[in-house]
Amino acid sequence: MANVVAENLTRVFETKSGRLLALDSVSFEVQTGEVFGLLGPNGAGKTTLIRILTTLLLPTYGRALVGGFDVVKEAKKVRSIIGFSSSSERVGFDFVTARRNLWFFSQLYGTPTGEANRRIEELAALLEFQDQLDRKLYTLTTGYRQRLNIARAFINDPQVVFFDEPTNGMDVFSAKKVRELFVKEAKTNSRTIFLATHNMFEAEEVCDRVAIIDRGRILAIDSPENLKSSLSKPVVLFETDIAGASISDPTRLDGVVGGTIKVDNENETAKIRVILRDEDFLERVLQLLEKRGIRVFNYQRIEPTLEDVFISLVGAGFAERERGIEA
Amino acid sequence: MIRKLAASIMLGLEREFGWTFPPLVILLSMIPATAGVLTAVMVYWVGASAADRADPRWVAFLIVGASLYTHFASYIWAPLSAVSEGKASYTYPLVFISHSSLSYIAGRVVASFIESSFTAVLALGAATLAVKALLGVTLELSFTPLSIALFSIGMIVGLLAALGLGLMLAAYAIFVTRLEWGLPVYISGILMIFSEAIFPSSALPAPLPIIAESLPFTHIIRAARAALIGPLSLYPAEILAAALLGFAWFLTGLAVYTYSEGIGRRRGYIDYRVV
Amino acid sequence: MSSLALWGRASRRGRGVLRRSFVIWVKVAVSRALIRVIAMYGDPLWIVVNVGGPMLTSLALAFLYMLAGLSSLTGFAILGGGMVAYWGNVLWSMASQLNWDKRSGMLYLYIASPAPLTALLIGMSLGGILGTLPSSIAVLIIGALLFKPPFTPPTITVALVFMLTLVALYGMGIALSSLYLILGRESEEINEALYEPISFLSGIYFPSIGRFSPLPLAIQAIASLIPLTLGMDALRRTLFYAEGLAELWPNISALAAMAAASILIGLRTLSFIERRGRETGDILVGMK
Ligand SMILES: Nc1ncnc2c1ncn2[C@@H]1O[C@H](COP(=O)(O)OP(=O)(O)O)[C@@H](O)[C@H]1O
Ligand SMILES: [Mg+2]
Repeated sequence: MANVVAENLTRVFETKSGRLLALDSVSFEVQTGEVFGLLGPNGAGKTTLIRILTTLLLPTYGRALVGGFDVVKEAKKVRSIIGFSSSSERVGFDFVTARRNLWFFSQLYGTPTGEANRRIEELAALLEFQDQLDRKLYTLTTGYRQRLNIARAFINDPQVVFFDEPTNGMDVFSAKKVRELFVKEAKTNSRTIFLATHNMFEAEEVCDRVAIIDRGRILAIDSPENLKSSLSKPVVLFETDIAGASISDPTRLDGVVGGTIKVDNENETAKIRVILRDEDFLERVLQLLEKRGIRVFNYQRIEPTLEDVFISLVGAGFAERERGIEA
Repeated sequence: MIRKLAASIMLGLEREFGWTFPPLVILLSMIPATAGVLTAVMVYWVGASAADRADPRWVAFLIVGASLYTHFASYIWAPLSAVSEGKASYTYPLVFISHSSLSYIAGRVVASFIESSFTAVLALGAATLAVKALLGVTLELSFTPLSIALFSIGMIVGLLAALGLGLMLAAYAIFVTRLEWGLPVYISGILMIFSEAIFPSSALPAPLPIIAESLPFTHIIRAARAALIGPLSLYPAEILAAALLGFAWFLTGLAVYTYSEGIGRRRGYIDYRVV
Repeated sequence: MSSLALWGRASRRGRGVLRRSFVIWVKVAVSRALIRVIAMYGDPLWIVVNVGGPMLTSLALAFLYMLAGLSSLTGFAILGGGMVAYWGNVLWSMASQLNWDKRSGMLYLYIASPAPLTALLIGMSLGGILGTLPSSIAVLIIGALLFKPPFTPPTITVALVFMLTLVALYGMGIALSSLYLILGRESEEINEALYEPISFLSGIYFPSIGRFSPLPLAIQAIASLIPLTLGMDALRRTLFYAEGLAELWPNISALAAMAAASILIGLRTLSFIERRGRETGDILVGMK
């Protein structure tokens, strides 16, 4: 069953500098039991999409259904079957125990207290913070607090759970626990997990399907494997001396579809990662680099990642996109 | 030292005034100050009228005392908030490392003092006008260049005492990370009762007037009354007492603060946010 | 199936939905109140801290009443100390609440859940009243012991007036909290500037309206628009002048009307905010 449906969702913001198209005619479907990833750089429109689906923002155009209910016309019904958590929030009452906090949030859904208590124990066990339950919130470390936020999103036994960059700034161990929970909740409790992230590793690891989003548009939707294997073009990593940093836009190189450059100032080297139109252009790129006086220490063909899929679609990496946004 | 102090004063002023147009800040803080002073005036007036002995001289007494009290009460908080706010934002540990936490605190006090001096003087004027408009009572306050100068000297002498008290509160804030404003609330209340802000300390029951005499603020308020209401002959003795006591308080505050900073450092409280 | 039977089924389902939303409403309000109370009583120091300002101010003013004229009037100051805590609670924790919730991300959760905002705010008020009760009672007891002001034993009228005053006061808190949400950060400065003048006008510590008010009639008329003024006036008249419903009905009916009006305004503003917020996208969530 399709648990989340979006049809031509569009959102325009009126800002001081004019109209901003944050979502541009987005359409997709997410099934029950699926972990669905929304992968894109900052400013791509992920939060905007989640806000619309969680009934907090109205679409300018288009339609969305969550659990079969229209997010605009049946907002109340949608609200009782969804859960939500974001890494940018700092919710909860500091001087109240973690357990009481979770109980309070369950009451927002009218959950009977007995059932709420059972769920609190269960979630705390899954995320391994049982021993923190009776401590006041302000004494919890960041990692536990973040896990608590994740648990909170499941407190009302939701059909669809939305997460906005949930593991952002989370310690490695907590993030691992959280990712395991996502998969388990989707598979054993048939929930839909809707996950916005700009972490490729996370998207690859937990998502059944990933939508790649950039500047408000969905560019591709498929399983991580299919997305990567659909990228038939070769990905090559060049290690060069620091002069490699002088290339501001790899797509200017002949035969390059897109790429990213990471400069390692400490070792005075640069890593140029490019996607070539095809194998034959490798020689050409090497010559071009040499002509610009860039020394190539080493180059190798590498397995593509989701970022390469992104790069091949938009010509630039996340970092380049985000820099562009600040500028 | 001087440069650090100046920088801290600027920082403090920016914090007080930065959010909007400065005259608006003064206006927004003058309104509550005036209302506070007028509340005391009305309490007196209602009580005295009921007993049929309302006396404008009492009102003058009240207005001067209450305005100055509001002035002190609003800026003795500055060091405490510099420390507790600074701990929350990690500014304080940085300031501490740079060996200038004292000038930082002093700077913040001076900035706050500047704001609240304007406020107090304006509140004094506004309350005087309001009393005339609301109660039809004309107060015999002498606003001459001399009296205003003497009044201002009183406020500046008060700065030393307030800095002393403020440093003690800052020392307390090094150790306490929650509900740290609890103590200043009590201190302000105690000052209201004992510093002769709204009634003469001689009216207090037996041993209590001693407390009043040992507070520099009592003498500053008395000196201000001598300047604005008279007799002027009382002024020198009171301002001297205020200066001496203020200096003693300042030294005590300094000692307490330096000592607490030492302990705080040893026990790791300087950047300790959560109990 | 006859259309009548269909209608019956529909209305039964309607009733079920109604009952369910009522249950959620009550659960939300009660749990919000409870959380607030737990947060306050979990730390007894809170009460000690809260009691300080009102207690010392009311003692100082009671002393001033005594020196000024009649020690029988010290009760005014002590009653004021008992009531000022609620007013402070309304302005300092109710009015800014939605703004804080917005900053922490809590408002997002509230909106994205089936919990009605009204239930949350009313729960919050209830919690605020219960949480303020100990400081208020402490001030009254300490003041009464120290100054022994004469007063008539509290009657049903006192309870009625007290309750209506609180309802009107917290209704104002609800209205303000929605208003402040629209105004944003500046509202804190407005709060700061409002507290004392309104305390003054509403005559927490002295009669600002009526026979004993020293204020000109025009000011009294303005002051009467504040629910707290009418409440304080009525409380003083029942407690210290033994007036009853016969004399106080104008106050009581005006208070009731104001309570209803401010709650209504609050609710209207809330639904306006929710609608506008979903349209523009920045009232309900902080832009980071
Ligand atoms: N309330 C708003 N008003 C104006 N512009 C907004 C608002 N919310 C988001 N935007 C803009 O919409 C774009 C998409 O933002 P967002 O959905 O937050 O992206 P992401 O979550 O992928 O980082 C950005 O350019 C952002 O600045
Ligand atoms: Mg985002």
